[in-house]
Amino acid sequence: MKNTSIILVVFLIALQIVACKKADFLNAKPDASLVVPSTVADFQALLDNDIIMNGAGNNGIVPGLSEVGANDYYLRNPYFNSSMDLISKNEYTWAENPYPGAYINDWEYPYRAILASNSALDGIQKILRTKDQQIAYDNVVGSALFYRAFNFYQVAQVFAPVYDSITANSDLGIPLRLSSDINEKIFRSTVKQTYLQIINDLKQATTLLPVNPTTGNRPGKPTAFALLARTYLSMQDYTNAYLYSDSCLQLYNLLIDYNFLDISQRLPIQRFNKENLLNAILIGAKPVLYNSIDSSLFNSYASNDLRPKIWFGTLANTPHLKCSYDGSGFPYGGIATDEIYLIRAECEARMGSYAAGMADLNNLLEKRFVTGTFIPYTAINSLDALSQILIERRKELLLRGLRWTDLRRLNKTPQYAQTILREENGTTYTLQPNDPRYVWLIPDPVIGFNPGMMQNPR
Amino acid sequence: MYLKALRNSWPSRRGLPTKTLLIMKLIILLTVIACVHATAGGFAQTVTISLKNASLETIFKEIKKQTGYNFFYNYDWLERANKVSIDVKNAPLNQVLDLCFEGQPLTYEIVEKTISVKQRSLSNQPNEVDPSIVPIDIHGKVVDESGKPVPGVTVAIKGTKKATTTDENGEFTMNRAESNTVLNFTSINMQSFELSVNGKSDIEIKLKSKVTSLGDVTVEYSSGYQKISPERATGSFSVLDNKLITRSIYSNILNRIENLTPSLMFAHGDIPSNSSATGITIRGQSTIYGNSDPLIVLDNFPYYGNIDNINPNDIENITILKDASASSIWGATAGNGVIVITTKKGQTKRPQISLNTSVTIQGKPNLFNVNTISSADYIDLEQSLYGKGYYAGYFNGNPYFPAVTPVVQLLNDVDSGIVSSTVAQQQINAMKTQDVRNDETKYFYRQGVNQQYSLNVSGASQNINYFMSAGWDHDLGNMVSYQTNRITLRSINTIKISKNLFVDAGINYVQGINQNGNNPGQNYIGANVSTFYPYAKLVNNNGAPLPINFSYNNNFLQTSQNVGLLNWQYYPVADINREENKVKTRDYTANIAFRYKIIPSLNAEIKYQYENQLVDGTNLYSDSSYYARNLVNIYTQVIGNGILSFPIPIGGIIYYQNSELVSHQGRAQLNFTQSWGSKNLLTAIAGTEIKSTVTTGNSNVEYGYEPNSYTVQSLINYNINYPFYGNLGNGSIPVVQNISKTTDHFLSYYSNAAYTYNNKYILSGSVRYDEANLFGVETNEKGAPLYSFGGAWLVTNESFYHFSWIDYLKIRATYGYQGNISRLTSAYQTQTYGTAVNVPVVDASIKNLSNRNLRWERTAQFNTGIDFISKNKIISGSIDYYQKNVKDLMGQAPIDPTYGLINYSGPGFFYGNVAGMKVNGTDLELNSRNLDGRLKWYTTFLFSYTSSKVTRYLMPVNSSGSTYLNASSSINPIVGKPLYAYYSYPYAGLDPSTGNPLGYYQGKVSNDYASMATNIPLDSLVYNGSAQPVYFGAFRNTISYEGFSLSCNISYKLGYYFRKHSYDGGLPTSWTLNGDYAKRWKQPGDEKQTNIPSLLYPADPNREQFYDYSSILVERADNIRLEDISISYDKDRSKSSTLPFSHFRLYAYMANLGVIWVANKDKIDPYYNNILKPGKSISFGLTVNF
Repeated sequence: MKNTSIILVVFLIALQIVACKKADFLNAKPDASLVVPSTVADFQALLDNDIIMNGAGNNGIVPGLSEVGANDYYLRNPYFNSSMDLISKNEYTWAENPYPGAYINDWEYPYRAILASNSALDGIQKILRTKDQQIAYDNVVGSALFYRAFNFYQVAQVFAPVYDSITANSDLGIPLRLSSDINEKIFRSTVKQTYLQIINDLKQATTLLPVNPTTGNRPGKPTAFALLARTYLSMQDYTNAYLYSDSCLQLYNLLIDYNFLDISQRLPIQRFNKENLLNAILIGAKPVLYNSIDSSLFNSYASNDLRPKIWFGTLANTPHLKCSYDGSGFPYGGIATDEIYLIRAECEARMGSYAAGMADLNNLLEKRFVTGTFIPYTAINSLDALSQILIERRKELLLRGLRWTDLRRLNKTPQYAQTILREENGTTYTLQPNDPRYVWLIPDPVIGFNPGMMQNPR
Repeated sequence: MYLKALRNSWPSRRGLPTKTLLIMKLIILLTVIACVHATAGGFAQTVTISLKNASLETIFKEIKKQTGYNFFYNYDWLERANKVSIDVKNAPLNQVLDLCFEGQPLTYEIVEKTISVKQRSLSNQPNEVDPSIVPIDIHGKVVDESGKPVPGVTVAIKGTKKATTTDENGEFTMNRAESNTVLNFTSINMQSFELSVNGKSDIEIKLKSKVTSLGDVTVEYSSGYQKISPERATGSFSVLDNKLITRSIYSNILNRIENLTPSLMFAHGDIPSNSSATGITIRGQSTIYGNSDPLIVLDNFPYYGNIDNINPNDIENITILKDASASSIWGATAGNGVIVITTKKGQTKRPQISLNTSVTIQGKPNLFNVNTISSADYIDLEQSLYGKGYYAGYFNGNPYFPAVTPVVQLLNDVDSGIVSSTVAQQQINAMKTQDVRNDETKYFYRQGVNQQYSLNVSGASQNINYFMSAGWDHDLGNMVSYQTNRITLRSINTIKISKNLFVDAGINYVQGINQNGNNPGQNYIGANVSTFYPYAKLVNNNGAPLPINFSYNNNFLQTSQNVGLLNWQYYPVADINREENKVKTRDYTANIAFRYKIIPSLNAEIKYQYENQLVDGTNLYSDSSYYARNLVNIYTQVIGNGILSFPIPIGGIIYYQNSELVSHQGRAQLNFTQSWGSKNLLTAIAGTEIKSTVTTGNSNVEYGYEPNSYTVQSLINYNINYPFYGNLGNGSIPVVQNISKTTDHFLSYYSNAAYTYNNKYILSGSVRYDEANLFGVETNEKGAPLYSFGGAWLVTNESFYHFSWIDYLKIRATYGYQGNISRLTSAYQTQTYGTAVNVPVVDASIKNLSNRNLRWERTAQFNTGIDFISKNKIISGSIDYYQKNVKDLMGQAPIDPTYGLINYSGPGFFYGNVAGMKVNGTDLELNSRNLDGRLKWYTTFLFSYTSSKVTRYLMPVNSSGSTYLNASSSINPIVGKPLYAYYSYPYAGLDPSTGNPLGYYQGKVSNDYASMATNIPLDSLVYNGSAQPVYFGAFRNTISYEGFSLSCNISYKLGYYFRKHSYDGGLPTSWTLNGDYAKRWKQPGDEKQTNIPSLLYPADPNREQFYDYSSILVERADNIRLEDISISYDKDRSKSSTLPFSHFRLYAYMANLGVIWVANKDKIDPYYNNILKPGKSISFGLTVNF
């Protein structure tokens, strides 16, 4: 009997220990690397994921479609025949439905970054903005808003029609995901709502972001101004585009003097160079990766222009992008000051102060030519200035995910509208100005998941 | 309180003070009732004896020898008996017995062929003190003929309602019984027996099996918590006894149980096994994304180590728990069924030494089972494509420097004027005769040799049972350089500390070493090509290894060589031994258990097991390996003319991957067994269990390994983004530094009970409550109560049962819930951490979005079955029918990518309890004894039918049917269809003018492949059927004569489909094509003979996809195969006294014998659908018992 009692007592004590520690025992983390985000640092970490937010590691974040259909490059026929898959061929030749049934990264990657932004925005609301973490807190909110806007902007450039103030209220824009809730309804907003959301997010971000972000992956206040300028430019709202490009350059206006770059290096430009306001990579569309630079564009660089020597190498005896602003061979899709100079210059020319515009242009180009050989450009009037600035804009910003948007917006003005051509295997493919194919189809699976969603017209 | 109440209800007629009992001395010592089971007939009924002053024992032995009759007696009584002188000739047996018992205090009784010796009425013994006035505690043990304990025997005091039951050790205690009590032993499967205690308090009783029991040797079911006698079970179990386990020779225990029991299916070939490590399903798959492996229990605890660490030579038997009643005791982890592995324990009194050794020779695999384009055809195709400019992109400074095959290189060299066309043609003609599979067979493959040695010592004395074993397994695999070594040491002992306290202690140590070099075999070899070109030559005419074209083109390699980089060529044959991949596993298990008998009907046990498994993985790429040279070269920086720097130092590269598993498992359990009124028996267990498994891991890489000085380079700069040599890209030096930790915590409470009335009616029930640290779910939501109940009716024990041709008939039915766990997701949003790629900051990515409604998967299963044995056991078997309703299945619901939950490749998804399935099926096992004389012929027939259907799935059916046309192993559940199924494009033959494959689009014959790829809805596709067998089973025949035995097993799988591989009209993308290329459509008229489409240039991927997934390529996978042949010769000392050991067994075993019949017309063995076919294997072995 004695033994029995002892065993029972031991048994009961053991049970009690288990019961007391039960909550701890059952709350142990099943995987130590899993964290329920709860601190400002957790959310900052989410936004610091440069694969998802910046497309680092050659993953890309800016839709490759923003360059695939544009005309700054072409594909040599052997590459078209042997190295392109069906979707790449279709995209390159502006097929009616280039990617039937396929899931397209150009849609998915931006929305993944939008999810991260929304998660940070939703999560940080539950944290008190105490005094000692104000700056970090504001940086998270500002960055999240910035990234959300950046990605809405990028998606809108390829999957929604170009902004037209007359029809913006009825044209279909993109789905605006504004929370991380998996139950949120997905539907297309109007173009007006899309751009309004981008602008509101960015304006709010400008009040929260620091002037000098700590890394080239993070947006700062000038970056948000720059994206506002770019957004207004795409909306052909040149007054506001001027205003925000100017705001950006007021805070940050450094340019690289190409004379100081080492031409003998294969990659003479550094990632996070001084013109970089936000590092981002184009999603690697195959045609763009095998690019040969459009011959007339390539031939338009003057012999004392350093840019082709820095940027281009040779691929199959044709000029080929060798080093982008990412400091790698992968096309850069981020925001850099050269673009903002060009936005300000263009807006100045359009607003009548063409001299200021030419000054901005010359300021930039002076840094691109061999020292002492640059003869500043002059213009006789605003229109002349604008023409020159647009030509230089193309020469400076090629393969940066900007050309498609430029084509779309310039096509709205008959004077600058152009028909672009492709030729492969004896077939000529043509894309007329304002062709419906300037709006890529929303990937079929997205329409499949949302049976009521309107596809872009063909 | 509980215990007190129990004690109070304990039936006791006379309450004597405990002291009295303690003072009392034991009157008589150990009593043994010996019984030798009857041998086959042919003995005389008359006796001839001439003995003087002989003991009764001597006389009994003589009578037994002559008549074959057995005696049941008590030695003590015989000692008190008078000596006898007897002299009879051919006297009838009862006359002789009457003579012997004349004047003795004993008498006898003959029942069948057993003579029970009994005491004469005690009142006739005036000299004895009447012991009936002194109550005693009787402790006893019931064993069967082979000495194994028999649990569940009802022990009743005759004439009273007092009764108890033997526990799992066959032991029982009857407190405060009268010392002249007569005990009545009854059991469902043992013959009843009466015994007069006669004052003894410690007795051992040997009972005989009833003829009507289930088998020759009844093996109990083990649920891992308790042992259940088959007759008392309501659930669906199968037991594989030691004889069946040792029938085959595989060194992995699970391989040994295939095709031996219904409902257990192993995946082979195209049969998918998406989330399974073992490839085993029990009664069909009942989860979609959860783990589909059955729970494996080793003795008492779930086993989470590597299954290869279990030495099959240590295994006594295996129980498979199939229905809810059998397995629900395992709760949330039992959803896929449970396999309980029971190890050997010491049993026999005499120490036993057993030695087993075997060697298996495994033939080389057949590489020609892979249908590949001939070298000549391939070269012709290359030449033709070259002429069309197909390879132009590979020359002229392509930045990616892809390699081209030798023929393409030669053609280009001819064009560049480097080689004359006649020379080139000569070389090309020579290459047309080469087939790389010959070299591969010769240099990558060999005959496999597997050796097994195992030695064990076991025994049992009064207070200790012991079992110790050592094993060594050595396996040289079929692929050159592949080998494994395993050492297992095991010791398991049971110590009786006191009458009521037992301790089990065991230690197990396993060391396994698994190693291989870089032998690509026929598999993927990396870079931008996935196979060797068909005419690759791996060695030159002298047998010296040759390089093959691989990754980079020749010009690039030549330039790099000139610049001073390391040799950049890949020599497949030489490279085999330049890599050493080694995984060393050490697994220590220690367990201890205390069993304490509180009162006779109640015992408590506490069990604890500690396991520590260390896995130590090393991949060593020596400096000469292609891997190391390639990496060094890629990072080489050309500083100036002829000046190079090597950011990755020249030398070898070592990767380390270590992991450690530490698991603690504890259990406290009460076992209750009580019978009363001789008709009622209640057994119950209740307990709590706690489990903690922590797995940690780390990995690392070292560069610049130097084997001579045994050093590595530590000064590596991982932060610089280096441009790669030759415009190959850029990147920093790969860092492999990972640590990981996972924790599994479980806390469970369980109980089950079974009540048997009058050995006819059985009711059972069980309940279990599990809690786990499933991440994020709040503690109070973690539980998952799972229960089951069932009943059985032993029809043959009814008094009205009179059919003489069925000796045993049991009908049973159960219903209950099993659970399954998926750790794929959690209730909260979680993220994982890492480091950003381009900047040195901590970053995070979202692992999953919050889902508060997360539950565990549940399977409700109804099972009903019949067990039967015909007269003389000519036919016996069981039939089961079951229905499973699987609820709350974790589903991978594809999700609109706009939600942002995406993979790097492909569509996004989230996990939730979104799906349901229904599975129903039938299991049948029939055993027959066709001949049962000296020549025996036994047959076992196994049949399983299992049909599963998805009943609920959240995702809408995709508007494009082509989404569902993929490899069978990917899951695209469709409501109303099996989880794994084949769909295909309707096929309409070849276009007679072009050789284009034709399909149907919008009801018309069409070659609009692009539209078919996107716009054909699912219901316009052909539904071919299940990708998993619907019917399967085996047919086993064993013929034995004397010690010889020949057994052969034939298996079958029916009612399922596979997708054939063929040539789809496309161009080579990986340096090879399907061999059906030769049979392609070439000119009009060919469509009458062939279904293989014409070659199309330029290629149209949609056309290829159409053909690859067209209905013409889906075939029936049904097959019947000869699994194995096993031959053995056994010899026992009892049969041949000159044998130097007690038993030996010589055996041979043949496996991988191939198919007998396949349904498809191309005679493709669906197990090896265009993959390597393993060679036949043959084993020889010897088992000796001393």
